[in-house]
Amino acid sequence: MLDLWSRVNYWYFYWISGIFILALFLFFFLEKDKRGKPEFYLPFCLILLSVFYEYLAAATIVFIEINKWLYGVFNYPHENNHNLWVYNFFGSHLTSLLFLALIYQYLISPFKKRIVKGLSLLFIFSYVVFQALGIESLFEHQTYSIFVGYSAVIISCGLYFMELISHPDYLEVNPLKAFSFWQVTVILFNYTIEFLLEISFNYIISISMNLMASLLKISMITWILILCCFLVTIVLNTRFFTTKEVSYE
Amino acid sequence: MSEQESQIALIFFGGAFLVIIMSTFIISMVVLHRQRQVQNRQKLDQIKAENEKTLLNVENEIQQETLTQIGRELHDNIGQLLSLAKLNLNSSKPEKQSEGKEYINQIIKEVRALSKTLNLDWVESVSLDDFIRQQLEKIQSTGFCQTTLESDGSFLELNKDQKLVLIRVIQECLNNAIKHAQPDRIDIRITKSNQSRRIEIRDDGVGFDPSQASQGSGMSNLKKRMETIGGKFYLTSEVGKGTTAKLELPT
Repeated sequence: MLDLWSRVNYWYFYWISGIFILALFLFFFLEKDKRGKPEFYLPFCLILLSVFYEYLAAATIVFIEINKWLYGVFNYPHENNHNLWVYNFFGSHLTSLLFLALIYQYLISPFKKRIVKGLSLLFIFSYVVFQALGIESLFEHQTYSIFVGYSAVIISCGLYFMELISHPDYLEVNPLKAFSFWQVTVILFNYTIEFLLEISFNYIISISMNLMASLLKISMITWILILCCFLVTIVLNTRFFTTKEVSYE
Repeated sequence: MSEQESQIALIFFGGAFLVIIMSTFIISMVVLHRQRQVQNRQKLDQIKAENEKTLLNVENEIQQETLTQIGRELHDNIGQLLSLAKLNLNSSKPEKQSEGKEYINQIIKEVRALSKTLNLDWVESVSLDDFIRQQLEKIQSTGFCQTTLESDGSFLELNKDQKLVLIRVIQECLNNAIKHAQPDRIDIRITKSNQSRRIEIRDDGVGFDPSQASQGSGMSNLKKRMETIGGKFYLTSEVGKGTTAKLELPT
């Protein structure tokens, strides 16, 4: 347990844990009908997932039996005790799918919604193909899957911004007061940084570990910004505040 | 510079660069959004003004049509009754005098009925089905052609603007059929499907070739008018096989 504590005793964990506790508490102060809406439960799920996989990643380093069991299930020959599978599956792929679902909710035009649906299906299909053909392993760096997933999210963000400046419903809204605008902006920036990081991971490490560490820290900060955006969305829609937000219906 | 210091410097400059890029992006999006918002509002105002102009034109045309009908009624009907009344009242015979008084009563009733049609309040009181029935009865009573109406009552609920436009478009379609088609019969069918309600005006007249461009703007006017009330206008025809006009409104 001391080992686990030493791993989570870090500013990043304090931030995501604090955001998680507040979100968990305040989510139940949302009106019942709002709790059932994807614009609120998807951000909440993302906060939950974020905390879950970070703690799981820390735990799998300390409790190596989890890794060994999983390696056995997938017949993974290496016995390096790394937790990359946690970040691959939960941190990259599942998170990307949830972001795609969230941006899908914010889009109004049926054509653009179909594009996002198509991108999500393409991502899932390509991941299954890469795994089935042995092109990538869950326990190693999954550059191709990440490329497809992150591109899908970035393209979806672009579709949202296209709609923001062209769809009549969005033209009537003040974007500075729209939660979706802030969320998608931070998602776009986070994913752009992470996209460059993940694609050029091996190259940057070979050049400078310092640079990689700094870029990772910046991506952590933008990730915290995303979670803060989600938290603010939940907070400002609780019974304690009346919002002048656009209706997403 | 130690590793930690260089890391901090990298984070600082990287972060600052990111903040600048993000701020520029947000400001550009907001500015672009405002520009498009203004353009959109201008476009909407323009469309609204055009729609109001179209509706005003429709009201004027209905008024004109009504005045033409009143003129005809005054000349053919009331004028005759007044002449008869004058003849009878000039006679010294009491029975002729009382006949003359009856003619006067009839004239008063006809003038009252005509005066009611001078404003457009009759549009609100008459249903579209009744209006179509009246128009078809007038055509049939002249002996010009046979007419039928089949209706499932889909157009019983309409707001005033929709009714005005539909009345005008139907009048135009019937006038066109009478003027150009020389039909033996005109059939009107009113039906409803899941997504729309439809009025079909079919005649078995001479028809025309739709691929030949027309000099007049009649058809495009009808199309435009239907669009002001969210509807659609279709015209199909074949030479020698008659013409069908379809008016569609969403449910």
